[in-house]
Amino acid sequence: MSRVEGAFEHCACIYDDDDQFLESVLPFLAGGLTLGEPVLAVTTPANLELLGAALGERSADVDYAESAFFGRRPPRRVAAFYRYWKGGQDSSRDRRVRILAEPVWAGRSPREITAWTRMEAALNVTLASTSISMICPYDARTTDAHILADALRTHPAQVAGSRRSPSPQYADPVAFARSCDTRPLAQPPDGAQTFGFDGDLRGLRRFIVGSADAHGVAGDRADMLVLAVSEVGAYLKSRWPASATVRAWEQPGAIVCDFRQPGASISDPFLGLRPAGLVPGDGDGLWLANQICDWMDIRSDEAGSTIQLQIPSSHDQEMAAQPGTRYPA
Amino acid sequence: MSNDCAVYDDGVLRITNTDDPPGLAIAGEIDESTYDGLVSALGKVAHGPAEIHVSLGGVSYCDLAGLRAIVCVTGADRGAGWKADGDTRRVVLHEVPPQLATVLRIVGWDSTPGLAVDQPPGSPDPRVAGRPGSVAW
Repeated sequence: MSRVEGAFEHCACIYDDDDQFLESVLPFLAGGLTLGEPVLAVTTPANLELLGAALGERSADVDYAESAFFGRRPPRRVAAFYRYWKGGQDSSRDRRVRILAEPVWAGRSPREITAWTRMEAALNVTLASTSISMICPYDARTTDAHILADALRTHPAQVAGSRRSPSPQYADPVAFARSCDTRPLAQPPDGAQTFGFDGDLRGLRRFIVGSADAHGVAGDRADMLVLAVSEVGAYLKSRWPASATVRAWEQPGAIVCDFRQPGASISDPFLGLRPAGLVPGDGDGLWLANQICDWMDIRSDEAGSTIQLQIPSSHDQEMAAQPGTRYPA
Repeated sequence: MSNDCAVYDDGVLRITNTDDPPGLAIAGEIDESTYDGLVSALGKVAHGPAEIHVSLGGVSYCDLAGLRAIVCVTGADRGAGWKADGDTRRVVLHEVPPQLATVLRIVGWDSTPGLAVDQPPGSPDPRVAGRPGSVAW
């Protein structure tokens, strides 16, 4: 059985109105249905309605999700795409899977816009071995010009109507992702709890349990924080003589945990974004931490590397409003 | 579970054989320091009965690599990875701590061919029901 390597197709679709949207994406979705391929449409509620009406009876064969809820954070979005693709495979052959994936931009902070744009570049690498065909629609009526310009840099191809063409602006994903990582990380405040990590993972876990407890974080949420922190510690320990300084503090809405490892140099900008499987891969533990946390930022300089995690604090009402919901909701 | 006989015990991780049902009871912390002990104990049962029961009720911490080792007793990692190849062993997990159930769901290992997670009576199914496209996290 041969796997389709490098078969991932990633195409931007910048549209000005409803007709353009349908002209560009309807043949893509309908073509998949005709071939019996799994078809997933992740877009706005308005576009879901348009597609439902245009597809008629065939819409029953399309899997749908609203953009806002299909992977709330970029790492979860990548994992959700991957999982959908996995679910569409069977033991006898690789099947092509079609995904319409419209990101949400309205109301996002600059930091989030960078993270979602960065994810578009990352998909070209992290999903490269999947047989996914993806079109990412961008609504020119509501999306800032710089986001539209970046869409042409993060997608190797673009589609307009029935015409598909290479994007001349397409940028190397690694270089593009690195250019996104310029925002300075949060600095530990005076009074941040500090732990000298020398490779003792049990000690590290005790430290973060105590720190979480001091900030009112307990139960499932604390358990998941411990898991993320311990996986980061295990990753550092597996590659460098562990001598990290770990600091934890609370900022509005979040617990932050910062690892500073002198001498480390992390150069892969997609570390922690490649979905983990039953066959071990580099950075699987960081992938899990990235799934658990709202943010995982990695920076390297001449002196070493910093990995910074953020997880919602006890003031997060989204989980509190849904008793029994386990993290990540 | 009867006839407790430790097959591994280093003071941090303790693994005992169980006769009825046949399998292992695991207690303590699983990370890189206890990983080899875990894999050794799992290797012994992986050549035993076609159905293995693993009780995780006493596990206070388990990293991703340790959880993978447990899931891979099914044999699902051989050859085609996630794809069922008709040569998988049935592994039933009991008393799965909530955070490990969450991790199984995040990684997607809860749907590994041959793996079953024993839900205590009355517990809600944490998975989002429906088709793949409706999975929201």
